[in-house]
Formats: sequence, structure tokens, C-alpha cells
Amino acid sequence: MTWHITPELARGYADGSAAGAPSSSVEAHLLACDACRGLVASEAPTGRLDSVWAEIQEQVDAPRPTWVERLLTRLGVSPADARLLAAAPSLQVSWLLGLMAVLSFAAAGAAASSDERGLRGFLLVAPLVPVIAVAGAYGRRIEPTYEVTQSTPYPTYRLLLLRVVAVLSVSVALTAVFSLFVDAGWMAMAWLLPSLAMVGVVLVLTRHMELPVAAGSVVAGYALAVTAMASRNEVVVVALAERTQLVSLSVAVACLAVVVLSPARRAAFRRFP
Amino acid sequence: MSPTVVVRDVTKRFAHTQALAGVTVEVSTGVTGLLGPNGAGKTTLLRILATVLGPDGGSVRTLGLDPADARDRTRIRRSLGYLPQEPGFQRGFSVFEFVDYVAILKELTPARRRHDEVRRVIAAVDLTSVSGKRVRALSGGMRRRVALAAALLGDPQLLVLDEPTAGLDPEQRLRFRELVSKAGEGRAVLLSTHQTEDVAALCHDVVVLHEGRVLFRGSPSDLAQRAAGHVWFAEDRDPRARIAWRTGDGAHRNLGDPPAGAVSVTPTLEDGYLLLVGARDEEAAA
Amino acid sequence: MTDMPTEELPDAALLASVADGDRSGLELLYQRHAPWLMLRLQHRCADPGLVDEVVQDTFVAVWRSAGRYDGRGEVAAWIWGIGVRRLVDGLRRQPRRLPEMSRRQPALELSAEERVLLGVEYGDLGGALDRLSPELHAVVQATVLDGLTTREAARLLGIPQGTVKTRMMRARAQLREELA
Repeated sequence: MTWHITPELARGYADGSAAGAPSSSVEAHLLACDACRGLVASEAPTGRLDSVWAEIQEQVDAPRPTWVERLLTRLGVSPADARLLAAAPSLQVSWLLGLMAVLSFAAAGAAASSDERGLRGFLLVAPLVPVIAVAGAYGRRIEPTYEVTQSTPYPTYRLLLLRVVAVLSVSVALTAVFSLFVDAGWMAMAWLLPSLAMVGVVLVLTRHMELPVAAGSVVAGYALAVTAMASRNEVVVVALAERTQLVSLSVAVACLAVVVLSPARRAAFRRFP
Repeated sequence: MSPTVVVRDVTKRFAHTQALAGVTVEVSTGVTGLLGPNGAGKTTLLRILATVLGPDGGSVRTLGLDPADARDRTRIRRSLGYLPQEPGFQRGFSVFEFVDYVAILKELTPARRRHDEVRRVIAAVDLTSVSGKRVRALSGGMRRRVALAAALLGDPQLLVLDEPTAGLDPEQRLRFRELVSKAGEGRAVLLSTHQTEDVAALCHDVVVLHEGRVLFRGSPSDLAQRAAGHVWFAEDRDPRARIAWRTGDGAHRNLGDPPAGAVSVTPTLEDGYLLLVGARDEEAAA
Repeated sequence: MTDMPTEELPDAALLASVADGDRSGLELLYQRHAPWLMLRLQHRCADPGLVDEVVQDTFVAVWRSAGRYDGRGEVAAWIWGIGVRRLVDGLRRQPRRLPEMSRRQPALELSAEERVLLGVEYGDLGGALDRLSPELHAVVQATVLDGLTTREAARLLGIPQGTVKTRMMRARAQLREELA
């Protein structure tokens, strides 16, 4: 390229005094010449260019919210908290697919058999789904950033509880959807209160032990109880019995009260902007 | 200037091991190295300083605050950056998303200012060119840098780094040392390693930990001086040497009590360290 | 992978690295191209708010679609194509003021440099272009030089498509006459 833009021409172009064909030829030249682009750049409004760049950075860098986060923000959770909650391992696609697989087997079994055995299978498995999901909410072996999280000012018990709530809601909703396929009407939801009771016990236990251990103990206890009942073929009857439902409800409420009202934990609920 | 961290007689026991058996240490501004073999208790001490663990006995004062008190502990955490031995990352997070996640945990809000801070620390570790890439897709050395960026969020006054150069190749290690050296300007950095070259290159202070006890506290040159007169070269391994190894040019470097006529060489930090730890091992065996 | 430091990479290579997720490459492209883009857009739309918006959207689009640059033609031209179309879209949503047409007398006030540059870029056409009236020039600039369709040019200039067509015909006739 033998001819370039002079500083006067650049200035004339920038302030708009060189209109018409000369301005067009400047523009045509700039498409191909980096040096002259640099020359013209010194005449451009730097303040505006800097603030536009700041906006571009923000748009390009800002993490895009996942579907879980969008759901949570719509429910009133702050975007920052939503990020923390959505990172729960049991809210990731792989976990959810696993839980759905378990539920589909159980529901398919129930739908396929015409007698009580199908319903029994489903009611055996369904209460465990929220418990297992909650076990995957937070913990040393579960959460990849556990160590770093423990060293940050964010109250870890608050993180644990908020995640448990999010995970519980999603897993209960999922299990409820599958209950529709069992074709036993409202009886298919008999798992709900026992499940909430078990989650409540897990939460109370986490004050003394880690989440996976607490969840494991509760699942083990449940398995023992079920084995005892299964030998007497009483599962469905027991599950549907009003007494079981009432006991479960009381246990769930009592655990919730213990967790929410204990003074040490109230500090965990302090909000930040 | 008062030291950033004061540790006095700290003990910690796990199921079958006494990880720390009365450790007294002070950490001030600049880079302090924590040297020791595996199982010496380095990670335990660092986790205690990072407020991830509480000591069984003894006292810790960080920035004048007591981590045993819940409110003080939160205040300490606001001025603390921690890089654990095995940093973990959520699946699917990009570099920017991960550092932003930790920034939320460090309570940096609102979003705009937080993102500016995230960009600042990513630039500080020279990872802007990959800030949109998934962390799990990066090499080990780069992942450590991501974790270091997260530790630098909020400009903490205390940085705790657990074996940050382990598993890095020489070039990556050199790069990391530069970053740590820069990070040590104006704040206290405590870094653990079992590579004496890291300490020699970076630290103004070194603490040698062995089986839960402090064997040495002082400058790297003092540690090297401990081995003065106890290092000599010979054709073969000298049977009188406590420790000896073959060097690149075929001769043997011996540590211990030199025989008459042996020519002593200038001791390195490694010599001082090996002699110290080796002597301790012998005592324990006796 | 090139050994050149990023600052010296040619535009096409820089764009390739941006396609790969290199944020610092985007910043460099911005430093090179945003200034002239902003000025060129300002010459077609007097509203600085819209111009800033368009520059922002253009570079976000560059970030997201860097992989779609096919390697033909200058990167600057590719960027301009994105930018001018966003400007047209922006004007469609809300028509804004256009810059005042310069009242400069054609041909008489060309400086020596301007004349030479015209000759370099457009050859014999250059002088003839300069003698077009401002409205005819605007239409030629929009359709021929900026590469817009008749509809887009109509939106940009805020005139009906029919007017664009008739002015193009007049411009063509005048240029043909001049160059004959």
C-alpha cells in the first residue's frame, strides 16, 4: 500500500468535516490498513470506547444461569444464592437421570403388576429417593470444592440447609410425577410423609455427623424396618396406615423445629445483600 | 510489626496418629515455607490455619483473632485464601464460573464488582486467555493456577498453600513460583512443600516439621548452615556418611561426619534439611 | 499454534483464537477495530447511544460467532458487515436522527491528500463520486460501499425503498455520463 491517511485527513474524518466521497475513501482504506486504523483510533472517543468495553466484558464473561438457577430466581432466591444451590451434586443431570431410572423401574413394576406387589415395590423405593438426593446435596466426599468452601466466610450450615431444601423440592416433585404412573390414586403418595420424616432425621443427625453418614444410617434403619415387615408381608398395609402417616408427620415437624429453632443455627440464616 | 499468625503448642490427634504434637510457629509478611516429609503434619497444620479444622490443644491467633470463636472465625475467613492439596472443581464450570463461584462464597457482591474482581485475579495468574474454558479440560498446572486465583480473591492478608507445586513439571513449577513470589508482596504466605528448591527460591523463613514437631525455625541460609562442615564429595558412597547419593557427574555427595582430609563443600538448604530430618529418624529408631 | 506474541498476530489468526475462547484476543480485536467502527457508525447515525449499543452488540456477536468467519476478505469488512446490520436493526426498532449532510461544495474543496486518496481507492470513479450530491452519495454509500440491500438502505437512511431505487438510478446515470 503506497498511500496512507494523513493526520489531518484522519481528524477531518473523525470530526465529520470530511463528508461525501473523501470520507468514503477513508472508510474503504481503513478496511485494509491496520496502521491507519491505529491513526484514526487516536481521534476516536476513548471514554465511550472504554465504557462499551466494560459492558462487553460483562456480557461475555457473566456465567449463564442454568435452568435450576432460573427456576430458583423466579422463586425469589437471590442470583448469587441460586448459583451456590444449583451446584449441588444431586441437582446435576447425571444424578437426576439416575434417580429417574430408579423411579421408572419402580413405577413400571407397579404399573405392570395388577396386584399389591407392584404398589409395594414402589412404596418401598420411593421414600428413599429424596433421602438419597439429600445425601448428595453437600459433604466432604460429595462436594468437589468442600475444603475451600469450609474456609470461606459463607456460613456452611446455611449452604447445607438451602441446598437440602432445593434438592428436596426437586426430588419430591420428581417422585410425585412418577407416582402418577402407579395408577393407585392418592395411595401412591403414601411415601411422602415417611420420606420427609427420614429427611428430617438426617438433618438433625448432621448436627453431629457428616451428611453421607447421617443419610446412610437412616437408610440402613429403614432397610432393617422394611426387612422386618416384609417377612410378614405387611409393607403396604403399614405404609398406608393412618398411624404411620401421622407418626411420620410428627417426626418431620419435630425435626424441622429442632433444626430451625436451635440458636446456633439461627445465626446461619443471616442474610447478606 | 506483629506477625500475621501465631501458633502456640498446637496439638491434633486423629484416630491412630498424633498429627501435631505441640507446634509453635509464627508467620509474618512474605513467603514462609513449611518443609517436611509426608506424614509430618504439614497438611494438618495448614488446615488448622485455614480454619477448616480446629486444634485439640494449644492456641492459634490469626490477624489478632481467635479462630475458636465463631465470629472471629468468620472475620478471619474474610481475609484468608486457601489452596488445598487436591483442589476440586465442579463439573462443567469454566475458569470464570469457578472463580466467580468461590467469589460468591467469599461474599463479594454485587455481581458487577464481583465479576471485576474475578477478572482481576484471573489476570493476576495469567489465565485470561482461557477464562472461558472448562477447568476440567485444563492441564494440572493450569488448574492449580485457577485455584490460586480463587485463593487471591478479595486480596486476603493470609494465603495458605498446601503443596502447590506437587506434580508440576519444572517449567510449570517455575511459573508457579513467580506467581507465589508476587503474591507474597504485602501479605503473609504459608506454603508447604517437600521440594527444598521451592523453599530456597521463594522463602525468607522456613519451618521444618517432622512427625508433628517443629525441628527448625529460621531463615533458609541458617538451615543450610546447619550442614556446614558436614558435606563432602567422594568417588564412592562413604560408609561413614549418614546419607549419601550419586550426583549427575558420577561422584557421591555425602552427609554426616566427614573423615579427616575430606574436602567440605558449601552446604545447600537440602543438605541442612536432610541432615536434620535424618538425625531425627535415627534418634527415633534408637 | 503461532510463535508470535498475541499483539502481533494478524486479524484472521486473532479471530481464530477468539473462536477458541481466548478472551484476551477479543480485547485486542476490540482495541484494533472498535475505534474506526464507532466512527464509521457515527457517520451514519447521529445518536451516540445507539452507536455505542451497536458497537457492544457487534463485538459480543464477534465473540459468539468468531468460528463462522470463512477466511475470505478482510476481518474488518466482516466486522463491518455485522455492525452495519445491527445498526439497521436498531434503526428499525426505533428510527433516530441521521447526521447532518455536509454542505461542502463538491470537488472545489478537496485537499490534495483527499484527491489522491480518492484516486487510490476509486480511480477515475473517485472524482465522479465526489461530484454526486449528498443524497445520491448517501445512497451509493449504503448500497455499494456498505453492502446493504435496498430494504436495509431504506431503513438506514429513513427513506422509502422506491426513493432508494430512483436515487440509485440517477447516481448511476450521472456516473456513467461522467465516465463516458
